[in-house]
Amino acid sequence: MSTVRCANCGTQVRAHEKDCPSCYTFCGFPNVRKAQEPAEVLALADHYNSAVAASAARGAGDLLTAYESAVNSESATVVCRSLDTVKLLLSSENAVYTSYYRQRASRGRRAEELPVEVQREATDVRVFPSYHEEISYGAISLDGKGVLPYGPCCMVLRSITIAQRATVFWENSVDFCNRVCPGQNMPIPPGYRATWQDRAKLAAAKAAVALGRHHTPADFSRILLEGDRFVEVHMYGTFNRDSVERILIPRASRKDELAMVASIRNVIAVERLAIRVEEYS
Amino acid sequence: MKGAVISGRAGVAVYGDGEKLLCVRPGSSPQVTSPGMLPFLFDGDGEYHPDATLESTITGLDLAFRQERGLQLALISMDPVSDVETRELAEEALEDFLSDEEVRVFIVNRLYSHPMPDIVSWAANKESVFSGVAWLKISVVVSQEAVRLVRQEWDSLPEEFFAEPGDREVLDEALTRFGAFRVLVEAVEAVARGEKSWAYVMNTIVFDRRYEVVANSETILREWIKRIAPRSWDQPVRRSA
Repeated sequence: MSTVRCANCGTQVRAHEKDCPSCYTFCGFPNVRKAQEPAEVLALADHYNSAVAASAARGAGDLLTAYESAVNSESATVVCRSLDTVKLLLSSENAVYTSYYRQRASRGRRAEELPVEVQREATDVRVFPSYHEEISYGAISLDGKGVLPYGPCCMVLRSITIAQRATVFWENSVDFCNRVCPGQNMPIPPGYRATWQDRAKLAAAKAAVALGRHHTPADFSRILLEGDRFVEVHMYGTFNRDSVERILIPRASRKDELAMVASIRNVIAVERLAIRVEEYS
Repeated sequence: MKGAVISGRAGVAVYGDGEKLLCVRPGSSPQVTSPGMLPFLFDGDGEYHPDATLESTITGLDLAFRQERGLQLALISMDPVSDVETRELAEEALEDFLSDEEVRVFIVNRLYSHPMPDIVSWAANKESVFSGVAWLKISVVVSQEAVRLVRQEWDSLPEEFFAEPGDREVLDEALTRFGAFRVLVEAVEAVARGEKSWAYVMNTIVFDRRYEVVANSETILREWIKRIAPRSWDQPVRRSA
């Protein structure tokens, strides 16, 4: 793990710390600092340059450029959750969306209670050593629809609220580690994560294999995110209802769904939240 | 993973047969999912059923989802923020849900575990054209004093009763889930009417093994009930709901 020196007092700040332990000066979000390390930046540039060259050789160079441009200018972070969870988040100015591990702790549950937690946490401590409990997850999306298996209600976050603290990762980090570096002590290879500002570069490097001459810009959304294949967003810290600019809700058919959707719209109106609601089929 | 994790709150279950994982949502066919999707599907919720089959996972999720959704509908139907149209939609859906005893008990157990934040506003919405919903709302509104008392005494139990950090929350969850708060709220009124004794109520709860989820649970429960019992004589008697 690399360290930095505090710009104010010169104290060494460890890789997982965001504030200087001596003078408490903010020293950058650990996930962002990690993505900015030279080894990460150089390796990502290699992936990107290889992807650009391969696409050009296949006659898809312009399409890759258009894809990168679309991701750069139009993509947003989307967090998908159940209608019930989204309603709770919107209902109070005090409600915050916290990381999974914080949620688990606040409900008094113990780590060993769910067998499904073991592998995820084992990966998260590798990707975010000593700060995995601070990370919330999303995915980048071009059309506002996120990773629907996580829940049908898609919260599109305002980029300004996450741009300084978010990084992106090649894919679901557990699936990546299982595939590329399965041993718990194997290092995670560099070049598969990027700052928010470089997300289009990473997305382009990843998409080059899938983009062919037969594709059009109408395919870009699906190439970026489909099912459980996506570019994962890692946000340091929490977010609240003021971080949300748009919500996509499935068109309701059952009575209970109609009531839940009406209730979400009701909360947005009563609380005068600047959140657009759209329905999708 | 073998077995299933079910979350009614997140409306999702995952079933594993030791080889593949299937993600189940209410009303949808199970779909293969990757380990990487877990456990974030569950919103920090979820209950593990090691012996579940795919069939029991689907039925278990259906019930858990209707219970949680029913609770949300009950809250929407009474929430002063809800407009008339939203309340009516919620009540119509809730009336259907309440016809299932397991859903009804789940909702009542939770509504009796915490006092409403703003009883005056909530009480204004206690009427309903749906008989099941009307019964639920009136029962909850009328019992608020007892609900407040029972919750207050639980919250005021000293930390030293709990052996481990998090034990209070774990026991609270069990007491809510299996109805101890509801039983005590009803007891406050029933004892005052002479229909039950505190000794009976004490035994009902203290010897219920479902509450043996943390160390020292019997002592904790005895202390809690002892604190409620004398104060309950001051509570007004509810004659009818």
